[in-house]
Amino acid sequence: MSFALLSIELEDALQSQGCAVCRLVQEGDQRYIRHFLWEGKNEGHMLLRLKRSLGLCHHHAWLLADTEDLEFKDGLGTATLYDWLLDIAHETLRKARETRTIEAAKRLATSLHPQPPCPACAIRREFAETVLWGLQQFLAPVGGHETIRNLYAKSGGLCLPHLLALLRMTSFPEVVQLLLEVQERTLASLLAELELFQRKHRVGEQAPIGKEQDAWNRALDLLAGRLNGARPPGVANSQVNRTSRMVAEG
Amino acid sequence: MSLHLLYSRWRAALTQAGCPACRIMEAVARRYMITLVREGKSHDEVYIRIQRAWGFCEGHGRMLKGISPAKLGDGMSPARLCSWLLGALSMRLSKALQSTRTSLSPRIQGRRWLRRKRPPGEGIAKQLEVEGRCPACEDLTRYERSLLWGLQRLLSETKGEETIRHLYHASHGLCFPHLRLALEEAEEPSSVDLLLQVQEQALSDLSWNLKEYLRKHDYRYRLEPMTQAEATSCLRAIALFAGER
Repeated sequence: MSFALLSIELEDALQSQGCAVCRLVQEGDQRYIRHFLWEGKNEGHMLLRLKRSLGLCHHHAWLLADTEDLEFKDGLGTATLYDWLLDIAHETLRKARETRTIEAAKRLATSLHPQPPCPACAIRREFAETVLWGLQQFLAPVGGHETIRNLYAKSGGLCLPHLLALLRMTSFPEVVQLLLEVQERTLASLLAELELFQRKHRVGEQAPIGKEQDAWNRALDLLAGRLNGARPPGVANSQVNRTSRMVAEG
Repeated sequence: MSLHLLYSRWRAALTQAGCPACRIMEAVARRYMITLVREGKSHDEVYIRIQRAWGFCEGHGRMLKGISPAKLGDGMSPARLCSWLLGALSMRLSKALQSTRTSLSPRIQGRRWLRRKRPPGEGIAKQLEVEGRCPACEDLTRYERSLLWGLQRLLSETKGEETIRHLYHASHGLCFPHLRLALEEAEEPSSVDLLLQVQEQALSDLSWNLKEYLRKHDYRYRLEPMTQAEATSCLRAIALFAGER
């Protein structure tokens, strides 16, 4: 990704709620899955890789199904890929059954262990590193990006995993200082909301609960990040919709 | 864990659609999270484990968010836990921040910076980093293993249970991640044989359904009616490889 494009995306992400890196990585994930559906899955080296990794991981496999349902409404790309993988798995299983020994079972168990990580996970990791590297460059006091520095100073900071990664990456003490100051302020405000939420639950407390309602949700996001929460909008029931539609068409 | 308890869990799960191990684990994980957050967190040892991991992994955090607040004391239990965790994190962060606010002159700071071998934030990151695995992952992985050990035992011809063998025979087998665990735990060839026999049949059926699903998308056959099994085959194939949603 180009440096200029990254700065635009970071500017947008820093004005939204939550960790900006998580947000960009989620969006990158969805872009990659779209590309994977169109072209990516049919490349020769990708097929070999998918054979070894037994398809995509849990998160990306279901994201693939949801994305295809949302964008193409047919599931053909996913079905073609998994049909091919099923044939391979079927053959492996058939061979394992011929020997019927405990040793053969253990060997089969090993072969069912995805060897390389899911290709989409590998891409995501690389992309997250790029975003983090770009962010620490933009935050640098020399040669940085004034707008991003200002936006970051006003933002809610990063989730803990991305904060730690950035602390390890940057070579500027000023960036470390800025990261810690923003994070300290975010933690203090979230703690105050959590206190308020608990106080309003006490007996006799009449005040209605406001935006502190989901403070603990945001606290969990801050502690662990929010990389896998990505779902294209409106796909919560897409699985059911597609199934019922297919049956209805039939 | 008692084999009797596992028997009842498997017996109930084997009558449902999809990977029975995924179904059991989903229910167990939800119960575990509710108990841990409502009661468990107040025990010193448990809380220390949670704090060392700074809460939960992203997946278990998401699961917690998906549980109805009513089951979590109107959200009070997770709110209290999060405020403990954020309080501890805030204290560590303040300490780290103080260490960066030095009274040294910029010239001395600059010289130190030039002599440094590690990135300036490395020490702080070390102070804040996670010191243990997500407690839910740790405990549930152990449970999952004993669950699959129980299955292979219940499927054994000599030490097993006829009802479970019968139910498993009629089922669609396990997803691959759980089949791998069951095979790793396998102690007897008879269990392996049944596990693989059912799995091969399930794969064969699913493969046929998926091929039909693809064929009926061809314009020449698109008027042929699609069965429920064919319509769901694509999603079932994903569940087979990656586990249930």
